[in-house]
Amino acid sequence: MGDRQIPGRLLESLKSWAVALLAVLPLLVVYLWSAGQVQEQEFRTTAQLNAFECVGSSEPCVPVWVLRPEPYMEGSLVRFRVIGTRPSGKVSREKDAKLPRWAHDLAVEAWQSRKGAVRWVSKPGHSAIRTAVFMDDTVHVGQAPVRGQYPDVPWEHLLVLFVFSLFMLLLPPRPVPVIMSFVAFFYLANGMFGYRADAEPDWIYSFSHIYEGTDTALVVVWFLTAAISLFISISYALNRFKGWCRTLKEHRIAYTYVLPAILGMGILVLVPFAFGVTLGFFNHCKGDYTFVGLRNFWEILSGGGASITNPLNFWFTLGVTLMWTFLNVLLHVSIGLGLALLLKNPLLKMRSVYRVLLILPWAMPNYITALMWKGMFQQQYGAVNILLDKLGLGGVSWFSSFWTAFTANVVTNTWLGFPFMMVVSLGALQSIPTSLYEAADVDGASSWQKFWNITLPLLRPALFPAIVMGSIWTFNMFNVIYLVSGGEPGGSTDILITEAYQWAFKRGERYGLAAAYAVLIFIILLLYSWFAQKLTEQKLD
Amino acid sequence: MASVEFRNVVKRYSDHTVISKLNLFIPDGKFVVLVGPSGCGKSTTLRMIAGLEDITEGDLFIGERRVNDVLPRDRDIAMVFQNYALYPHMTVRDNLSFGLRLRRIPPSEIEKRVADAAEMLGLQEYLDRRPSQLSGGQRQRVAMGRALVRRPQVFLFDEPLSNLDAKLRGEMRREIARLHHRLQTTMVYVTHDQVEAMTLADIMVVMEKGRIRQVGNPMDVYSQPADAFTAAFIGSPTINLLPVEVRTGEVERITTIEGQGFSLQVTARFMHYQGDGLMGIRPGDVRLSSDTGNLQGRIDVMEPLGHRVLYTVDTPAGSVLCELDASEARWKPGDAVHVVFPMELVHLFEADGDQKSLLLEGGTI
Amino acid sequence: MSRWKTILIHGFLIFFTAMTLYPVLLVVRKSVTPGDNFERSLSPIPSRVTLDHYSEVIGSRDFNGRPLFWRIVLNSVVLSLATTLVGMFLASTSAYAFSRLRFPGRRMGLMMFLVVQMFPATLIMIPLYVILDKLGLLDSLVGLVLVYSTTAIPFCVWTLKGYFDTIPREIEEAAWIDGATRFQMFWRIVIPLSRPALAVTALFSFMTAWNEYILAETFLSRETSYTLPVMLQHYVGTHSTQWGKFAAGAVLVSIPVMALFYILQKHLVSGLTAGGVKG
Repeated sequence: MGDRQIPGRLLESLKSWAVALLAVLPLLVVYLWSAGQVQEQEFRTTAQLNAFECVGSSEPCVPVWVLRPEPYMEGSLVRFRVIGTRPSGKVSREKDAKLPRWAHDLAVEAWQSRKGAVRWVSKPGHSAIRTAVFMDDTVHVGQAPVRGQYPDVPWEHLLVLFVFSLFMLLLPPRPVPVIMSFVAFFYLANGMFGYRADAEPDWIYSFSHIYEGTDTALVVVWFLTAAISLFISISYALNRFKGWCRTLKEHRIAYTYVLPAILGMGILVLVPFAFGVTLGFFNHCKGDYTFVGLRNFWEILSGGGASITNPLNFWFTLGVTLMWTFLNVLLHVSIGLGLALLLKNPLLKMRSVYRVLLILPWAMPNYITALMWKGMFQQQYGAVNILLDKLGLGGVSWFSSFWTAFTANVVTNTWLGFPFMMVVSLGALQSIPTSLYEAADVDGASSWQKFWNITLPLLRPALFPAIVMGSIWTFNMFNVIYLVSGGEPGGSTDILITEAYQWAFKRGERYGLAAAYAVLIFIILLLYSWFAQKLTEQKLD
Repeated sequence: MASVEFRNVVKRYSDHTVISKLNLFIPDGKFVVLVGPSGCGKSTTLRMIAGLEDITEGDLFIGERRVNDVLPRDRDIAMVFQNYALYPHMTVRDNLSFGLRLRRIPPSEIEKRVADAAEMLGLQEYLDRRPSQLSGGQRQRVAMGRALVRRPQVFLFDEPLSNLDAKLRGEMRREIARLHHRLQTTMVYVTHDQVEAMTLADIMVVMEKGRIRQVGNPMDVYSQPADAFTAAFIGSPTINLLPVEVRTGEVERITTIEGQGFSLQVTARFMHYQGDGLMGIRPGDVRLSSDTGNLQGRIDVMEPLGHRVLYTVDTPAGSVLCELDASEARWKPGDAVHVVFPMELVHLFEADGDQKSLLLEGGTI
Repeated sequence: MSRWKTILIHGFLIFFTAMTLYPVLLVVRKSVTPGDNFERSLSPIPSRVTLDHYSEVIGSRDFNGRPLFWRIVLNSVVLSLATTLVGMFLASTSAYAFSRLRFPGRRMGLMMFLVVQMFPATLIMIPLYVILDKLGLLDSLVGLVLVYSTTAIPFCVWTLKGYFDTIPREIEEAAWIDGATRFQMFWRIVIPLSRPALAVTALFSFMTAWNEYILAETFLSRETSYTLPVMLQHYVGTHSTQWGKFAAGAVLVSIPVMALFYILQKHLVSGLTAGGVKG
């Protein structure tokens, strides 16, 4: 009844939300990006300070040329000559040390500024800061290593995002208040927390010093924009909040019943989910998390530098996953439906015996099934190879090439999954009234025509959701892949979900990347089920 | 025991109105039947008394108390549902006593009441069975027993007999009539079956599209329908309604009813109406004749019903149903006949709007 | 039906049944034949019978010499029962509200329970790992109970809601008029009437916890806090291939859950078609 329309109406509301979010998204990205820029800036500043310290100290950490400007220079150009190098302590007399062009240029720059100069060098596998320091009429030049950590994301940024998203919940899903509230938060946050690299980020400091040196007109514009937007969005929110209180009171019984589950889900699924999505924007290294914006997603979607035939490439894995899902669901449905058709006849002898035995794989814990089949495919003692031997075909090393390993996975999962489809089809077949077949018999239909014109159309309402469900399960079927082939050879049989797991727990704890993978999986499945929903609605019409 | 009163009650679901401005007084101790086609709002009316539906506007009184905001359990009413709504997981005894146990009535009292109800309804042997082990009629009795033990001020019945076969229905109908006679408690009964309505009601309320069409003693409603809808809804076979033109002479006080192929002249008491109308006449009141009559026609279908015979006659004015005693039925399909409309048994209605009766107090012409 | 057709149908069915049973029989065979590896033989009948693997699995001990197997069984049983209880409580109350009451946010909530099923476990797992790590709950069963019951809830809510929807409203209305409160309607009418569906969802929650492997493997590192799946996997993990012990363990672990499954399978079918799959 009413429930049937859930997807349709929900889509409506999702759509209006999507419009609002789309309007805000560019601003959000800009905000995140600017936050990232601040990080970057701070990181660079500390690294440069480190480099200055290194090159300029009495015990430099790298070889340093000591240069002195030529006294007999004409015009504005300066020339330097090497008066020595300094690996340790004192200046040695290696005048012949050849001075590279960049060192000279940097020295000129440092001498002119009377302080120092840096140039960042970045090559694959090597990055350094070429540094020149001006000291006592000499210039010290060296290639300092990049020291200093990417700074932690200031928690204030996260707090702002959190408060903002809470506030968004209070707003009606209409673009105006949503955008207004965003503008307000954006400007306030920028004002409060847009701290400078050399400043300690703290609340009081921010309030008192943040507008130092900023154009007064700009500050006024900021404040005005923020105030107006805040006023509009808060008035919307208050209205909405009042409405909420009213409905809460009106339906308090319903909410009491729903509360425990929602609370449980909220704390244990939605919070980790939000956390997981957030993690997708961070990089993890030995317990430190660094905000990297969309870089994880970019790394995944661009293939991470691996070619499309490389198993580490996202698109390769996606292809394998889609093939895996499609093949499995196809086999599940055809075997399950076939067996159901055979078992349908109530006069068939031993019908219930077959049925009970055939659903055995469903009852078995699926990790046992997976390990059991792993044993079956073992090269030396596995039953499959022994059988092939007996047939004179010779054994196969199942997990050393892609196709054989993939086949082993598919066989295992087919064994595991067909009973579900069989049971669903059997239930649906039994609900088709026999009078339809009798009518068709009277009309002189062949059994093929009966299958095609009666059975299949009437099975569809039951089978279609089962297929959608089954493909989601298969898409995320971790156990079989992980336990049977384990991704062998070389991670090529990994599907997206095991790939994400590998990144998180087997390849250097790249939690951020794994989280980004998981977000992509979620998006794919969401799109898929949305599409499936659309398809069912069309069919029903 | 208590009366029930609706004052300007309106029931609206988000966009459409189910009940509009209902005013009805159900006197204490009467058996009131709400009757009407499906979707007329009779069930909603009943459920509003029960408290299962909110009242959008207006007031509802049970006795002296306004009960709009009183929970069902505090209204002191009991209800029998169409599908019985027995608790499948409880025995008959538990079904009967559930409401009493919830109300913390002493066990000895519960036992007594259950025994009384079981005796009254002949359920003694079945007290330890589950509803699934009972026949339709027995389930119906349990449902009634569940209402009985509560000894409420008002009994509500929501089409309680519609799931039974014809024979059992008659039996249960008499049982309910007996029950009311014995208890003399206010009962409100909803049905779409006019036989139930006619036989059970002290007061019959005919409803259509969320409005009351007529309230009255069943026989009065039958013989003096207030409008064409009521006339057509009550009575079986259905009344003949023929489009006519009505003209009343100023001087002679004589009304001419002119239809397709016939014309009647009646002396109407104080009727001043000119224009289109509907002439109604019940099939049992129509006579047939071989030689003279108001309207010529031809027998189309003949349906013998035992001691009665139902003819469908093709006439220029349309099909006319005619119910005759088997002894008078000497025509065969295809025979030419004359249809006779006895003047004093004719009803007249306006052709438009609510199709109100044109006959004033007293009814007949 | 012609004779040949019947024979053909039986032939097909016997073939598929054999395919289904064969791997299981091989595991059973392995569990009673000596040696760590499979025999090079296709016959499901063991050549020599021994119960050594079973006694080894059951008699295994931890570092301190305490019985390990029973400890792990206890872990799994406690984990599964707790998951079932928590899951059932949360799912039945909210399914009741979703089925019977109309309130703002109802559709959103139902949709949420549907969408949550699409969350990849890894997405939850990493944050949970981080959170549990910070809370120092990494090696405990408490964390797992919470995670498992929330994984089971969406399915249970939809299944139960589907079943509650089939209970006629009039029964509750009758109870309401009889004087029941909302809670009494739920507890004394709807819950007893939904026993089959409750059994199915309980089975599902139990199986989720009893069979779950990857979260347990990731979160548990102490031997004494292992669950049965983790124990089994370690027999045939990267560093060891004790197929005999694995087989014996697999038989021991599967028997209770399969027995439960077969007792309740009739309901499982109706439960699935009533609510779960309709989605």
